[in-house]
Amino acid sequence: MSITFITLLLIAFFLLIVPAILYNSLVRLRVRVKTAWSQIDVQLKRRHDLIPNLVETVRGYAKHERETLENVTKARIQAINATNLREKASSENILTGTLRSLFAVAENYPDLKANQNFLNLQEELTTTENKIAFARQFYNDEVMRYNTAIQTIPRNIIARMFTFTESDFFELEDPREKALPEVKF
Amino acid sequence: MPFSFIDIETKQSRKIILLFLTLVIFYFIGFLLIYSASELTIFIESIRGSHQWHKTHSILPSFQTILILLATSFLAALVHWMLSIRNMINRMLSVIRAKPIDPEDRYHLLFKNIVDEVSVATGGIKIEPYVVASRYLNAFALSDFHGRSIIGISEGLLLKMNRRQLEGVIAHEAGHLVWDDCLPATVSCSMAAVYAGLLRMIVSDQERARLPASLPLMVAVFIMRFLTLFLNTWISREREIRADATAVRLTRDPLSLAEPLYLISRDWRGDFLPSDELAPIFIVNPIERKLEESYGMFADLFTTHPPIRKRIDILLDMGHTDFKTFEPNVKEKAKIQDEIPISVPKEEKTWYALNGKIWQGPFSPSELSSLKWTDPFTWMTRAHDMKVRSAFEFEEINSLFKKRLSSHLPVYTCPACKNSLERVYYEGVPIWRCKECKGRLVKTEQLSRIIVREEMMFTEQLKEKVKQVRLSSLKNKGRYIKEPPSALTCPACGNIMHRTFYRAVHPYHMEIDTCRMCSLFWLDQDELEIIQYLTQGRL
Ligand SMILES: [Zn+2]
Ligand SMILES: [Zn+2]
Ligand SMILES: [Zn+2]
Repeated sequence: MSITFITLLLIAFFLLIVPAILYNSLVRLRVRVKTAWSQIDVQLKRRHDLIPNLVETVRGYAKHERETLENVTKARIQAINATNLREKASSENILTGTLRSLFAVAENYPDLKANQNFLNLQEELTTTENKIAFARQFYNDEVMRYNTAIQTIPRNIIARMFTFTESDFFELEDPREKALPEVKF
Repeated sequence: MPFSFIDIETKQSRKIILLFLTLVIFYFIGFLLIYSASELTIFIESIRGSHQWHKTHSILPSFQTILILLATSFLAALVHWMLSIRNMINRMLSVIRAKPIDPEDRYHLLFKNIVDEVSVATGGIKIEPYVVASRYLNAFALSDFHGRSIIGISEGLLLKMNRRQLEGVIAHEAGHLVWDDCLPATVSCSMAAVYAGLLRMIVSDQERARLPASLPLMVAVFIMRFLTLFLNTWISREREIRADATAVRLTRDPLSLAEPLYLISRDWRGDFLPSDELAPIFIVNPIERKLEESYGMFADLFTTHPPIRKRIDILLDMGHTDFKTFEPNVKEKAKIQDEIPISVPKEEKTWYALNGKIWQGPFSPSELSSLKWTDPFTWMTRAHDMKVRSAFEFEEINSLFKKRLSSHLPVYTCPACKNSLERVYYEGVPIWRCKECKGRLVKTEQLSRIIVREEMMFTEQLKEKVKQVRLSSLKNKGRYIKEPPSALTCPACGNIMHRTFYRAVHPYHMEIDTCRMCSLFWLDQDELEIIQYLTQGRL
């Protein structure tokens, strides 16, 4: 084995294998971001599915609150139709707001508050909101890791060569800070 | 395939191999002691002159002997290992007496929801929720070689914590799952539990034979103590602090864990456990020990949990607060409101139905649909128009019948007064109640859950009744007052119910009606509360 051979081997190693490893690590990070996003998507969908049932239940007790109910329904449709991340974030925030006023209205109807169906829906929504918050937290952590990897040496070179683009964070009003009225059974 | 060494490789858990080596060393030392003891007796015998002492013999074992002993201990360890990891989780769950949750129970549902939430925070680790029907406060996590993960909690903790505090506890347990440090702990507990199981078998045998504790018992206790001590050196105390930190990363709320730790440390943690063999899997060591609460290398080596105060202080530090401001703020949970009927809508009683040749009523629509003698073809009418039609022709009634068909919920009538029973929550458990005579229908396993939930307030009237039960049980000494079998028929199967004594109120005797086929209890008015009162503080 000559020295030239070893040198060639070393050069090949640096030119091929190191970039391949770096590329793979970037792909892995990007996949993680995608899986993390699908977690959010599942929970958002769950929330959208729960709302019609909630609106129906409330309508049975609070017929005079038509405006509040319609706002929720409208906000839900908007949230379902949202396509990109930013639209989704803003429409989900609006939906959260309308739901909050719906639960505030419900406070005035003792019969509604004692309805088992309503209580179940409220607990379901609370847990879904919490899951959305956790899924968002997990997603944003993953995005942070991915974006940092893209921006720092040496992986930024690979990222530019193979057009790895930065992912957006998913910003929502944290429902866990200003939570829905805590479920009192 | 239960287990192979390739699995260890993939799990990359060096600790598992160390655990196995510990087991080998444990057996080696044991065999060496036995060997030396037998050699010593032969030596002593030879001094007495009753035995021939060969010159080749020495008290110290030869190289060959050591090899043989090593091979034997390896084999013994392997057998022990196989016994420990076979059906590991299920065996452990039955030792702890944990059961899967009942999705209809409101406390259990809350627990399951929080477990699911935390699972999302970890990025989707699949976690099965389990509950132990006891009043002590503790929680645990288990996992096995097949990737099955379990988080368990005691009814006591589930009852005493609010949603936020439960989230902290569950996040701590999920922290172990995230770090994958649950597996070595589970295996080590399971290895110690093999002897504990043996010990329990011996003890129960002796109880049966009414013999005093004897040599095999002492030996088993000694072996288990020794082995537990050995294995615990591999369970680091840092593991708990690391899981605490992960819990904070998951919930972003250090106080949500500091509060339950504080509350658990002031309460009963479940020292019912046979020994500290299972301690490593719990959030707080069930047995409070001086060594556990102390610092230093010796404590680090032989204990599994760091001092609770240290854990709380670290958490408070993360939450930018200190113990003085924290302590007065720890509050207990608001109680879940009880005995609300499950189907609530207020309905007017304007309906009449034809039963045979007699019109009965007035009923509300849901009452109508739950009466046993009604079906969609029963003739019905309303008070204001008196038009008689089949039930299915009234939209309102027909939809209720449809709901009844699809809900799988059975329709029961009161065995005492023949009214229809309604579903109500009692201490968060869905049971059946008769509105008229206030009797209740409870499943056997539901009753064992209700009696550990001591949240009810008891009236003076009830306390008076309890006094009477105590007096009469002293007088009757376990003889039935009513002649068994009683005249009541089981609402579920229609067979005659039997009178029985409810075991958990021992030493008092309390007669209740039961159907053993359906495992149901029928409790007359106040009997449920009396049982709760009598069992309070004794579980
Ligand atoms: Zn722990
Ligand atoms: Zn009755
Ligand atoms: Zn029966």
